[in-house]
Amino acid sequence: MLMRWFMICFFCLVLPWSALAATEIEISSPGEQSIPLALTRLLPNKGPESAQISGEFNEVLDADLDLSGLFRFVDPEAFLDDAQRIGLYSIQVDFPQWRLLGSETLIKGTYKIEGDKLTIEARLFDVVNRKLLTGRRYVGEAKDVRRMAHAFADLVLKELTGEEGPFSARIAYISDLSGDKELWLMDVDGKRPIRLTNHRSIVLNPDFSPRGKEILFTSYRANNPDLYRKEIYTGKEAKLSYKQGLNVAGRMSPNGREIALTLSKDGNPEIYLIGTTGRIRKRITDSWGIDSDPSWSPDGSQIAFVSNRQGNPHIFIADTFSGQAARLTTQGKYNATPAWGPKGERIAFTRQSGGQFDIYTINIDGTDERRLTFGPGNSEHPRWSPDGRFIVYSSDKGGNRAIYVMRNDGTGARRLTKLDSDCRHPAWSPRW
Amino acid sequence: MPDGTGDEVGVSALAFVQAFIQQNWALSPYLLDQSRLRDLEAKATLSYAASGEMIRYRINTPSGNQQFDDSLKKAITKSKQLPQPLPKQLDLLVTFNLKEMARGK
Repeated sequence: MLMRWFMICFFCLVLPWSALAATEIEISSPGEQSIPLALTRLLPNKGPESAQISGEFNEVLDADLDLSGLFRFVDPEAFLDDAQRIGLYSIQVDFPQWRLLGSETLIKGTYKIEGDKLTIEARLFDVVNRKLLTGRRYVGEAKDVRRMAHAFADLVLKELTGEEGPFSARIAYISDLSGDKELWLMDVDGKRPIRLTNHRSIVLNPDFSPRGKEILFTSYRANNPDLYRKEIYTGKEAKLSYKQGLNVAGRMSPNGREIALTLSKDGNPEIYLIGTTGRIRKRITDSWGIDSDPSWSPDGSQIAFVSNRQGNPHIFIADTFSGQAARLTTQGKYNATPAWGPKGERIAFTRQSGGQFDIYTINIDGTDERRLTFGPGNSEHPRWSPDGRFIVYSSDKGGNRAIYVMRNDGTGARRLTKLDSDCRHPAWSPRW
Repeated sequence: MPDGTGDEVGVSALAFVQAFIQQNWALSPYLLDQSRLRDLEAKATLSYAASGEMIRYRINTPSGNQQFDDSLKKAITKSKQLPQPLPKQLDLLVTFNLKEMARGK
């Protein structure tokens, strides 16, 4: 009898209650495929008010987080009084108020202006669990407010996804706004464009060094397409490869020690590796066809490039050690400008189909090809953001060719540059 | 779907609870590796009193993906009180996965 009671007690206390008869159900998708976010405006903290500071910070953060595709913004019109209260600590936030609005995450912050000095403190809260997720204090000048907002957007993405955002980086591109095709640099939202070259010729094909301190580009300044390098901060510039014929599409290796480029010194364009002094180290391709547009794999062991060695231009992948190449794309009659994604798994490229160019991505084993753009106009020159979330490219769908950005699945496309000039050949810098 | 409650009231209550939890589950596909959507699955046991209050819960088998598991915890937290009572206590074994989301990718 005692044993029987013992067994009953054992099953009641020790066996998990889940093992008891429970009704099984399956939920095979979330009810909402975005995170509800309440993004409040910065409030002044013991100092003069500036609608411009809070407005600009809010606008930049809103645009960056919207591009990420992660969030659904709670309508600011619905905000209650907690949005008007400074709350940098969990204990100061009225979380039930935000729950009532359906929000799961909340951004609050303050700014303080003291002379030329601007201090912004921003916080990301978990509304459901009523806790602070992350926050940072940024100190600078009023002109730095956009940079601070981009930095906080990067931090929000890092907290929620484990990987920092790419919004503090820059985008280099070619524009003829000054009358000639010159090298320009802008923020990733298209703001603060500055011209970096004054070659008064044709500049093409920029690419960043792995640390983002230098830009490679080709220029016809000396009446030949020569490869140049330019230090961004000092402005120092040097000719790197100036062999007869093409010295184009220079791409620095992930370790920064070599540059892959197309040279046509012997007549036929081929892919070569040169050192950082410009000296040829290795010839990668050797075929009767035109080989061009190299793009390094993230580990530096392979290079994707374009070749018409089997007829029409297709994307190939070559081993940098052996030079052995295999064809990647099989569809379409004109495939060009491959860009190897930073995760190593996918390559973006351009394909001409039906008279127009569109952007595609494909796995490096040739599977799962996806078309990302569908006109109108031509979309070309895809390049990845350093985290692989986004692709920047050029398109003439608005009339003049401009720089656009989209998510890596083709959604969320937006124009970054104005339509008052021809802009092309974008390149997203590494994180600064 | 067999629901174990054996009557129409039970079926309707079960469908209501299922819809309520799903509605409270927010997860962006951009938080996840798109190629892994089909692999993510977690199982949780939830128990609701007839009053509609969640009296206990446990995530028995987490998916191992932090973003996915965190979103489930939030969904459960948001589902701790049903907006209406139930005909009787309800014990659920809930499987969360992304089969529908993966179909669209």
